[in-house]
Parts: sequence; C-alpha cells; structure tokens
Amino acid sequence: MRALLIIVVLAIAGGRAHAYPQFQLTRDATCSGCHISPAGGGLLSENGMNTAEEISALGTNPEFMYGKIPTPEWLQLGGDLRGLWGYLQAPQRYLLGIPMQADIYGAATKGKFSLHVTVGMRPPQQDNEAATYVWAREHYVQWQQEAGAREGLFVRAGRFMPVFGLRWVEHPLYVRRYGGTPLFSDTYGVAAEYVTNRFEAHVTGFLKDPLIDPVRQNSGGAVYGELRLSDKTQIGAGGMVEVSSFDHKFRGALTAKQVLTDALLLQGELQVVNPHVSDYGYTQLVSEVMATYMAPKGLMIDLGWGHYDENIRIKDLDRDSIDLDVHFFATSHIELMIVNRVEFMALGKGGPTGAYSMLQGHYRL
Amino acid sequence: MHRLVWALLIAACGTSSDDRPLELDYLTQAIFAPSCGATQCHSSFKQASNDVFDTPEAVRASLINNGLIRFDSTKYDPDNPNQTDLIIWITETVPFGGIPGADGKPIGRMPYDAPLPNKDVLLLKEWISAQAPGAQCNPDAGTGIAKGHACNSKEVVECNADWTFGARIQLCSGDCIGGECR
Repeated sequence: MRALLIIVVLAIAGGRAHAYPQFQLTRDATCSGCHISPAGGGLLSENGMNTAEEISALGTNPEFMYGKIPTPEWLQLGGDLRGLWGYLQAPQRYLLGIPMQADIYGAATKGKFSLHVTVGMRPPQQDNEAATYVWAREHYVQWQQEAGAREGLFVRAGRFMPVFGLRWVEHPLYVRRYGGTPLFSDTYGVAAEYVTNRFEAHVTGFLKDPLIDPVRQNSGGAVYGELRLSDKTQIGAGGMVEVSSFDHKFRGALTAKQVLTDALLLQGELQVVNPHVSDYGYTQLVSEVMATYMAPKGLMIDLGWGHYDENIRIKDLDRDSIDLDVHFFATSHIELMIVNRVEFMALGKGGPTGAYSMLQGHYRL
Repeated sequence: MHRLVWALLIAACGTSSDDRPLELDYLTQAIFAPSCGATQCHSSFKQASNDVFDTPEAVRASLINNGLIRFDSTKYDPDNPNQTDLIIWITETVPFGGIPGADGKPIGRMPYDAPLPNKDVLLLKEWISAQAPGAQCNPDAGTGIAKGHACNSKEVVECNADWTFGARIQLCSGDCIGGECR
C-alpha cells in the first residue's frame, strides 16, 4: 500500500512513446521527416536533430551525446530521461517528485532492413519486481522501400504502438487514455505504412502480448490516414477494432490540423467509440482540441481542451480538461516543461474537480 | 439531415434515465478498467497492491480475495453499500482515516489521477446492493469444512465455479464469517 502513492501518480506522469505532433506541418510535413520511425517518436533523423537545434534557445550539437561518442553509420543510438515535480489535487492534495522515463533507443540498419529496440525503465509489477524493472517496450524489424528515405512504403513487424490518431505525446490526454493508445499499450503486431508529403496511410494488425502481463488486453486492427490539403492544412481519419475476452469496441476518428500563422497551430482529434459488452452497446465521445504557439527563444505554449463522455445516453458522465503546457527547449538536448491541468466532471456537478501543476525536466541523450 | 443533427444533439446532452446493466462485464469495461485499471495503477501490467481491474476475472478476484467487497454477516448490509471498502476507497477524500503512502502522507481518494463521476459511484453502490452479481465469492477460498462455501449475509451457501452464490447450506443463528456459522 505504501508504494501506491508513487504508482498511481506515475499514471499521470509515466514515460512517453510518442513524439510532438505540434511539429508536424509547422516544421515538416510528416513525422518521418524528423523521426526514423514512419509513425514518429523515438530516434531522430538528421533533419529531426537539426530541428532540435534550430528550435532551442541555445542550440548545441544535437547528435547523440553531443557527437562525442561516434557510432558506425549502420547504428543509431539515442535516449530520453524525464522527471517530474509538482502539485496534484484529485481531490487529496500532494506535493510529489517522480522519475518518468529512462529509455535507450537503438536502430541497426542493413540496406532496406533495420532492427529497432527501445530498452528502459518500467513500473515494476507488484511482487515480481526483480524481473520487471527493465523491459524492451519496442522491438521490431522494419523494411522500407528505399533505404533511408523519409517517404515510401514501410513494413514493420514486432512490438510497437498501433498507429492511430494524431499520436499525442501527452498520455493523460483523453484521446490517449480513453482513445485506444493508452500509456505502454504497445504490443506485438504488423504494420504496413505508406508515407508521402501529400498523404500517408497506416494499417496495423495487433495481438494481445502473450509474453508478459500487458497493458493492452485486446487484439485487433487499426487504419489511419492523413491528407495534407496544403502545407498549412491537414485532415485525417481512421478506425480501430479491439476485441478482448469479454468485450469489443469499434472506434472511429477524425483529425485536423491548421497552421494559422507562422507561430500558431490549431489541431484536433475526435473519436466516436462504440463499445459492446454482453448484449449492451453504447457510444462514447473522446476529443481534444489544442492550440500551440511557437514563441521565439525556444518557447512553445500549448492550450488544450479535452472532452470525454463515458456514455452519451447518460447525463453527467462527461468530463472536461483544460491543459496549459509551457515548453522551454533550452538546448538541443534539454527541455523544461510546466504542465498544468484542471479537470471538471459534468461541468463541476458530476464529481470532484481535479488539478495539477508540475515542472518536468527532459534530457535527450 | 435535421433529424440526424437533433438526434446527435440530444444524445450529446445525455438523459437522466440510467439503463446501464448491473453486470460485472459492463462495469469492468466502462468503469473499472479505464479508471482503476490504468497502466501504472491496478492493471495486469502493474498490479499495484495486488489489485487488478482490467478484466472481469481479475476484478472479481481483487474485490473478493482482497476484501474490497465482503458478504460476511458482520460486513455486508445491502441497504448500506457505503460501508464496503471499495466504496470507501472511491468516495472519501482520506479513506480509512489516512493510510500512509510512500511519503508518509495519507493516501487519498481513488483513482488518484481521475476520480470517478458520482453516477459511476452510484452504479457501483446499486451493484453491491444487488449482491454484486459476478463477484460474490471465491470457490477456491476457505479451508476444511468451509472449503467452497461462502457467506451470503447470515446464510452459508455453496460458491459456484463462476464466483456466484449457490444453494443454501445453512442459516446461521449467529454470524456467518468466512463460509462458517460462528
């Protein structure tokens, strides 16, 4: 029971599997423009490292360990360390400080094939701590149509997150937590992905992990596509089916991004979810709208509104969140964030109002 | 088109009537798994405090084996589900007077990061008042004469393989605790 405090608070502030979708369109057309994964996240490409240097206040060499540990051309290494300190009220009040993430990434490439592995810290399983402090959250083999290219056909097989929606980095957002890609729900699957600057399409089939006690308790499939109408406008749509031992869910998503000015991005995701259990089916709504201001001197400010309705037929089961996140990219490797949230249930009449305000430190190796 | 818009608007506003089933599978899918069974809390992945809430089998095992719902005559009052440990954990700001957490401060209302809506708490209370169908007893619990038996308030009953109460074995004149009359 004593460990419970840390455990549950980690639910708010656990590690990350995704990248910043704020940079798509504002910095490059696609996630693969800056990441070596076709879905984004993890290791940066050369263009991604240049972007990291460009957006930060002080620059610095963006390469792995500042370029002081050279790696052969076929091997790419990286990593992320994160920690969080702050105030939480839900409704009990806490001051807390916790580790979030300690991941090392590696990618070995041979021609059109590459092997990707992410090894890092995970929350240990109760009474099985010794065997579960470290895991390989992602490990997959990738084939791509043209070696090293950012566009074209990619095929992946192994353990990774099914590709769906805008792939927000902030896993407390409802479109992550209730949206089919909760924290650490990476699992075994196969994905075929076609990415161009004009459009991209991702098809993923996935299975409940048979090797560990997993987060994802279902198997299924996901399709997701994005169409860029111009260099400032993008729309997307997708669907996901999840089948477990006792239920199944159908999930549809619409996404959109609009660059309003050189410094202002508006993006949103709406999911309509149709869960079925026994003979009962119902409908849920999950959404996020976020405005991002790319301020000078390494600052990025997000203002988001999330909405989750557990069952639209029943009154007062909805909740709304207002997030205000301020990112400061001090150098190519160091990011400081202040993350703030207020959450209301049924506009304050459906349950206790919650809030947090925390400082997060992020070091990219 | 107008009808469709109106139907969506009405649906989005919700209604007061609550037609949700009092079934363990539904409660797991809609309430326990997304709220209590979050990744780093009571998921199969983490199993904090040996409670797991992301499958119906795990939910009933956690509720019964860890005493979050108890049907002993000294513990169960269908007219007052507020006294069950489960309801205390999800409703009180400082449950049980303050069990200290890792930092020595009292552990607060569950779930820490996203409290349950009042209507979900109410549904769980209704389910408990209806004797928690699907999570009533553990057929493997107990030893000796009490093996495979359970208390349903003042009655000793058989515990079925699907964790539901079976046929009555005995009506206790005193209390029923742990599948035996005391």
